[in-house]
Amino acid sequence: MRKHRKPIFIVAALLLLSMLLSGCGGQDDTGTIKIGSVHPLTGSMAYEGQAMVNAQMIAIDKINAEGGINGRMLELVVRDSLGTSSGAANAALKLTNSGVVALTGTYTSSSAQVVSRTAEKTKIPLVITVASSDNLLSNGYRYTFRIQPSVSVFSKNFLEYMEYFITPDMKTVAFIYENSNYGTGIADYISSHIEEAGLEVVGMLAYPATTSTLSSEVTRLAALDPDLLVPIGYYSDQTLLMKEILERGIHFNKIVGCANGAFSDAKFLRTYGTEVDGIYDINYRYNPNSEEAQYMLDTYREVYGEDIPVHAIYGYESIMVIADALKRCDNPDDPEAVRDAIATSEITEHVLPQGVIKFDETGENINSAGVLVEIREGKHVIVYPEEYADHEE
Amino acid sequence: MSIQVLQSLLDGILMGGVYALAALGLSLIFGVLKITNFAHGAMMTVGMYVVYALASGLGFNAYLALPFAMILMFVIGFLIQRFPIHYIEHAPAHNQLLLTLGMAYILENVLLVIFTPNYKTLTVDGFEKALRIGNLTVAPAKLVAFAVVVFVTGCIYFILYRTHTGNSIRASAQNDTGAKLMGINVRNIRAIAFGLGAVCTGIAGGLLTPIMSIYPTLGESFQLKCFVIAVLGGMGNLWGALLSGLLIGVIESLSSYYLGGSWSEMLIYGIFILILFVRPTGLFGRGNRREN
Repeated sequence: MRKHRKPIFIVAALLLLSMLLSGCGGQDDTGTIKIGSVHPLTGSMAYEGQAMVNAQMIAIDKINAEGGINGRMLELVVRDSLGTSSGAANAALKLTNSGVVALTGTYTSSSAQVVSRTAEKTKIPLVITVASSDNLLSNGYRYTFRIQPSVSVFSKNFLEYMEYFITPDMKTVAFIYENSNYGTGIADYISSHIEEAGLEVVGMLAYPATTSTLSSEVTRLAALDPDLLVPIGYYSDQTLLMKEILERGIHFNKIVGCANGAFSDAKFLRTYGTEVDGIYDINYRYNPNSEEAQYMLDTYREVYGEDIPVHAIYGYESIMVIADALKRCDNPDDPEAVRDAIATSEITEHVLPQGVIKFDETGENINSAGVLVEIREGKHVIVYPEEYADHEE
Repeated sequence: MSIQVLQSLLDGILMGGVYALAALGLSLIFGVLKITNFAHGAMMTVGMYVVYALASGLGFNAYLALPFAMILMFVIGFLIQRFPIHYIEHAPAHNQLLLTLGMAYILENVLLVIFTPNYKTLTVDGFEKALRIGNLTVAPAKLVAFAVVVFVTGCIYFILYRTHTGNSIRASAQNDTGAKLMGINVRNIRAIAFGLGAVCTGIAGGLLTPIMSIYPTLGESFQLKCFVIAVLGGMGNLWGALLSGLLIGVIESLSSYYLGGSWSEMLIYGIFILILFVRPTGLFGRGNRREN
């Protein structure tokens, strides 16, 4: 029996080692100003989280190359949230103990909720990169800010932009959405207001994001045959949906996604090319007229060998917002001063398709907005609002 | 019966076949080793990536890659049994659980390091459009998957019931000590059984590669489903695993059609809990639940 023990220790040691390795980084290093980043780097959202951190690194490098914050370099301290709220809470706690002056995160709303609580307790400002739940900023927290459009902003955008893609002959609409806060939130909001525009809701199909098949849902959609189909979901489930629709050659008059995880992704186009032409999506996007955005796109492609996923743009901008605040405040080592500086942000030069970045008293970016993107000849083209429309064909 | 219901039924059976093969692997491993393998989902993901790597890296057709994937999965399974599993076969159940769970994390993170967390999509030429049979449509990838499932299952049965190795596997599943007394090298047999289980699971995963976008933790979502199927069929009961795989596929598909996807999950796990209460040995006959 005794000789059987050893390998267990080796396995245990390996496990321990892997835990230690994943928790590395964050040594004290006077001189640099530290910004914490809490994103999922392992687990099912690792791709999204990693992209976010990649984009943040590009922003950090840009600022440092331009001389940093009054000569001091920025340092991004990254911790894995594991994609869970408990993981995020842990990561945030460790970051706040390692001398960061601001936090960024977290990709999911449940994680953002716990990190914003940590921010409030430790009085270190949090700039949310991506987390779209509406009630994140309704707790009266002083230290939480959000740049990205919330669920209700996206939904309102959808209803505003509708005049662009709705034609008078369209009578019916069906929604197919993943059944968490994000999918359900958007689908419920739009569906309860869309009848005012004269469309009848004929189907509300919710599915779990981890599903391995959407065949039955597509069968039902084909039977419902709505004039307008609104899909809302993440990358893998939405590609599954489109695959089924394309394979079976089912035609819908219009498909318009809202904050769709697949439609605005460059990889989606690489897979389906011109087959998905004519699909619209209301989503995150960079401002095509911004030189800085062009720099961000080019650098990302150069460094990471692929196009920046659209949500990661908010990772980039989160660092820019914090850097702007750090430059303006008297004491960049004091999180309280940084918080006050963020609260008074007024950023006109940025990469987002919106007006000035400015926060209201709850911490919400008052001008946040998505744009309407159409897939034309296998490419993403912003078509609405006019001022951000891509004109290069 | 309306055409939509028929369509859902067909889709359910085809997907159910893949679930069945994955669960067959789990059931086989449990039957012989009496170990509940929590690394099962991760092994399935390994299968997905093996096919992906062969197809995209070496330019194989996804389905020509399958035989190589089979061999590779067998070797991986064999080695996993030889190295960590063998040493905990008589350990308390919670240790087995933790070890296999730990293995799942190790496998997933190895995949994460090698393949990055990016979603990978594999397209098979000529499979872009569904086949039409009257008013029904069938995705070619699913049809081929089902055919492969039938073939692999046939092979597994042939090995188990028509070969000496198979007899030895079944003998050690029935009575470990007895098998040893008959001169069977039980240690090897267990490794072979684990290897065969890994083949089933890995191939089920590999068959999904052309159907889904894959990422390193995708297998987790299948793991629980495999447990449900294996328990429903009676842990260790191979025919049971196959039949309940098809059953779960059909339940999932029809309930998604009638009630929506959210309900379908609830229904499947509801049935699972019910089975545990009412008929813990599974729907089909007596499962292999002998105390050892």
